[in-house]
Amino acid sequence: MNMVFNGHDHDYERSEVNGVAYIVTGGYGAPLYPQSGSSTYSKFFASVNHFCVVDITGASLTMTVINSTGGTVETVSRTSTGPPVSYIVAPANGETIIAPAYTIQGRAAAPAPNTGIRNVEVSLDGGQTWHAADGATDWSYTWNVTARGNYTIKTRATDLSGGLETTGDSKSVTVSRTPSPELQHYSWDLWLSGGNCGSCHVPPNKFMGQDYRRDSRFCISCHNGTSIAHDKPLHGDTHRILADITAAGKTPVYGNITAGEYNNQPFSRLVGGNKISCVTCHNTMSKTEDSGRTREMTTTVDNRTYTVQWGGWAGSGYLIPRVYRDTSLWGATKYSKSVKRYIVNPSEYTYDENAGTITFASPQNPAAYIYVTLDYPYLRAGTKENALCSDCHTQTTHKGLNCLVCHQEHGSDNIAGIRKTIRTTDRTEKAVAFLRYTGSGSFADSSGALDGICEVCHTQTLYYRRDGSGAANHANGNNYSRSNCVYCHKHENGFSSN
Amino acid sequence: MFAISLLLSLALLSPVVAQAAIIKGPYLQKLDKNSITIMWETSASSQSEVDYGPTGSLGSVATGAAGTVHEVNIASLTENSTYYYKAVSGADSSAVYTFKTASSLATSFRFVALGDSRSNPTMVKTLSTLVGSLNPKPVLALHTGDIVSDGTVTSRWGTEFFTPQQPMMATLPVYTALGNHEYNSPNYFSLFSLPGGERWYSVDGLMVRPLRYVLTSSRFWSATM
Repeated sequence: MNMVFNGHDHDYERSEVNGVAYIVTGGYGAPLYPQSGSSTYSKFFASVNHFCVVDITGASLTMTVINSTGGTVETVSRTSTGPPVSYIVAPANGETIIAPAYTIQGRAAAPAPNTGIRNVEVSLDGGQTWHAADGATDWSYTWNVTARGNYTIKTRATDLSGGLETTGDSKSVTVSRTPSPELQHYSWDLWLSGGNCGSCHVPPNKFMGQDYRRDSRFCISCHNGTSIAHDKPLHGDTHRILADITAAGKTPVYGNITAGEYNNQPFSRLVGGNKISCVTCHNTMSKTEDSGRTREMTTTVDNRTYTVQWGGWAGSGYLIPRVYRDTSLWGATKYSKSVKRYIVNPSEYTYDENAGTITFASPQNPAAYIYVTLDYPYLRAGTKENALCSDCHTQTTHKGLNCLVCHQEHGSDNIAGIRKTIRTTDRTEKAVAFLRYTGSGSFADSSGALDGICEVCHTQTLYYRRDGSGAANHANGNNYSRSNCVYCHKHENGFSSN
Repeated sequence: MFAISLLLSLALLSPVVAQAAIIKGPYLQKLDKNSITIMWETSASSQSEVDYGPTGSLGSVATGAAGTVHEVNIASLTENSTYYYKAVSGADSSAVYTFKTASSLATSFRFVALGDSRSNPTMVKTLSTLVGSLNPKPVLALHTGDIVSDGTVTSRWGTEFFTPQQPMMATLPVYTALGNHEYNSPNYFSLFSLPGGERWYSVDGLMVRPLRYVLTSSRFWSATM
């Protein structure tokens, strides 16, 4: 401490005790007092209307006392002397650090006569071990956090003559949850149980002795494995699998997948011995090039409105967002098989599709981690909506819609993984029964249910319309009742008839 | 007959005529790196709205609870940046002023310390004009207390402190301590929005450490002595 400001007595007085200046500044208008006495500590007195201007630059402090005509009553300068001083700008004391990397920032100054800083060191264990920071007077240190827990960050500076800081700065912080859902699996053992990669993996790259990259058991040890993608024979259709995926510049999976046939096993096997498994599409080990599909949300001051951080929903077809709330994943209950318990009931919020915001009816716990996704987290696809599917499939989507508008990524009772319900252009959910390509239960079968995959949306077809109306024949005069719509309106052409 | 009806219609009109006018402020409170609080007082209960933005064309709106003493917190601001703002209450609005958010990375820092502003509005106006014209501009001001001659007399907060200090207080956050002349009045706690428990508080992180202000109240001292 260098200076203390006091009031109450209507004058200006500076006293000095043990290097600290004690200022009485009571001259902003009240009736002025004359000096009634003095002590040995008093160094300056003036019965004058005034205010004090204090300028601090580095280790130097200058106080200028200004009177009511703008003149100077007194100027006091101080320069700190002694060992160098370092301090932490970020994080703040008590802050919660989000793993896995954090940049500690700070400043350092060396008082006269050794006014330069040679280096600053940072300790993350309360001063037992020290690491060199980057920079000197303006320094930073990238902390690669290795475990959850409480830490004491300490700093110490060395000046140009080798003088070491005596005390240094200290901040206590807590390392908490990981930054995004994409990292949860990667970090679960690291952060939750104090384990490490070896808790699950047997080097090199093996999970419990198996090469997990081609094995789904790692996932289904927690997740319900009865609804895994591509778990049904996808009709006789080839589904336009790329002839040579690697040659097409696609790298869809860890390892190789070659085009081929499906069988009816839960985790289908492609020709060449490679399987489609969870990790074909999902990334358990986050990589920097995988942006995933998750839109991270951030809160406003009222803890009610959450805004998309990147990406957006406008024009993304007719997908509704799924909103997740995570308050316990990193708490005492740890991970649960019941992932659904993190899904927020849509009745809790309203969704503005164009603004890309979710507004909750009631304020949310600020500690909650809210995120939203249009499909699912952990996907290893890039930023394009269809990138995941188009790694292997060359179909063209319908009017630019997302594949997932019609297809259920984890399969369904309908063939071709067509969803059991589809959200249509008027934002209503329509039941869909797609059991065969022709006849009853096909694309458009004119059954009273109007639940054909084409019928649920179309109002302008000549024949089957979702409202039940329409002419019996196409424009060419033919009646294609219960025919295979995609015979003419090919998927590969985006369902155009041309 | 005609005269009577005219009087009646005047009487009916009069409540509508009672428009809220800004009588104190606006003034700045609780400066921080990413937020600030704007306060002002109106003659009648009214809405609390601040229009603000990085340029004089403003563009953003923040609101607070309606009342006569208005307090609007603006969050999500950019550190070390100048913003333009004006206070709006019903039909009345202030001039456009500026504030600058705090910076934790500044290498130099200026502040003003002053005290005992009571009982002399003319001198307060003279000194506040000097403070307001300082260049470089101070980040904040510390007031050591005895702000007005009698804090329990509501009118004196305007006549002795807020009115003579405009427009300085519209652009410079003043951190106050409770003096004995405030007489522990609720007016003090109503008109200022201070950190923590308001009566005693500290401010940190607005500038290069290790500077830290601890403002105490003279009431505290008299109570313990």
